[in-house]
Amino acid sequence: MEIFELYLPIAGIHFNALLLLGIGFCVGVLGGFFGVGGAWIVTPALNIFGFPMPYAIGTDFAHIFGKSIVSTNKHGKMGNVDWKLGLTTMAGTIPGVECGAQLIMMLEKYGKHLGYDLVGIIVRWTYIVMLILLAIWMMYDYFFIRKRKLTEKLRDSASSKPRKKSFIMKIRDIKLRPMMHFNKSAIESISFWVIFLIFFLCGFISGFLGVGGGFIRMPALVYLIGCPTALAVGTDLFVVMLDGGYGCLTYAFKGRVEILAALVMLIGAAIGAQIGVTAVRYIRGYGIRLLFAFMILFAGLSILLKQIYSMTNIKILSDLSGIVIITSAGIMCILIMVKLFINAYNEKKTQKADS
Amino acid sequence: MNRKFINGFILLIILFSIGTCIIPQTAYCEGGGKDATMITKKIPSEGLGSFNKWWVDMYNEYRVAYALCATGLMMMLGITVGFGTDLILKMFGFKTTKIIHHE
Repeated sequence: MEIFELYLPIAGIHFNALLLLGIGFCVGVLGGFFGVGGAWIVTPALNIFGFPMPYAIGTDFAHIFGKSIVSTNKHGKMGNVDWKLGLTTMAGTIPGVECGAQLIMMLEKYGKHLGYDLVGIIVRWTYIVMLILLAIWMMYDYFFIRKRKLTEKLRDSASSKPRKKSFIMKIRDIKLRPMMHFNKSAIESISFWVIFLIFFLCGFISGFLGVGGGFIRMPALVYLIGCPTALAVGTDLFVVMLDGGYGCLTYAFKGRVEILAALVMLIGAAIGAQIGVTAVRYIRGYGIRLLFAFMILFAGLSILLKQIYSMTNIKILSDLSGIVIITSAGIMCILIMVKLFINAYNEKKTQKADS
Repeated sequence: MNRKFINGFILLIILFSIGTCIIPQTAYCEGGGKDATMITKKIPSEGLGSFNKWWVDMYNEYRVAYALCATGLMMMLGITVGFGTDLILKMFGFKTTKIIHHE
């Protein structure tokens, strides 16, 4: 394997190029499929294989930028990006992120006063609880609510009784001017302030936890705004692309981007992103959401292990935390590709039989 | 008030917010919530190959150019590899055109 050893002069280390390609590819597939940046996978993955931490985040940003251009472009071609909705959601994010960050600073001060790491504990536990609850909710939605809705739909179509209004419809019924419409997302009318409030909360969580927030925005677009899953994925990636570009530029300026590593990772990620985005075409919205639920459940588990490690100092738990996130990402990646190939093959077979 | 004026005003607020605050704020979140400090150490470039030497020299001497080149390169490479992979996927018979959104 030594022939694949690559010298990274800025970070000053030797690193396996195949490993970089593999990590990039894996995150590319997941990012293109779920509409997330994937920093929560790449940073621990690079770190666990010995990549120096000061360069990990910047290098990660650089490859996220390139990868999200590929994904957004392709999602755009497939009609999966609602540009107007993407920009509008960002408007709510700013005060949210700022408030979240301010709260963290307040907690930091209070923690210093008390004499222990209050922020670390609160942030990590909030992160764990939020990821696990979100995963459970999405699974519950898949296994119970979806079935109930299908049964209700069948029953209601048989009777003349008017259907009960869904939560999304109730949200859309709030008539607080100015009202906006998003043709692409099939949202006829929704108050600007509703979008503002929802993404203010997303931004708040993002700022509070210190994460990009793709994993919060995507479910928010689906469950609260009523955006079709594929559109939510594409629209979210558009936001990730803007963040990634800025992050790449500033982190490179601060000398925190190892360009060679980012280039190798990007080759893998760009190929992976194409596959991930293409998979969205072949897998139904509910399928995407179920896989996403499993992915964030494992992410929550990984952070839980890290938290237990920080409490007990048992070294193996820290390694295990990295292994959980890398293994689950790898398995998810394989699962997406297998599903893509099977569904594409079946579609081709049906088309042949029809003709 | 004129509806067009209100729409234009909202659009202006959105664009202004995106340009000045939203992108940096969310980008910092992606990086762990904190604005990273600058690394000022010089990287030794002796004995490096021409490609690496070029990057390291630029990193040491012209940090702004390094940042711009790195960002530009990421963009270019992303588009090129993406385009190539798109062609390969099409060759294998995968559809990459517009989709009908179904749940």
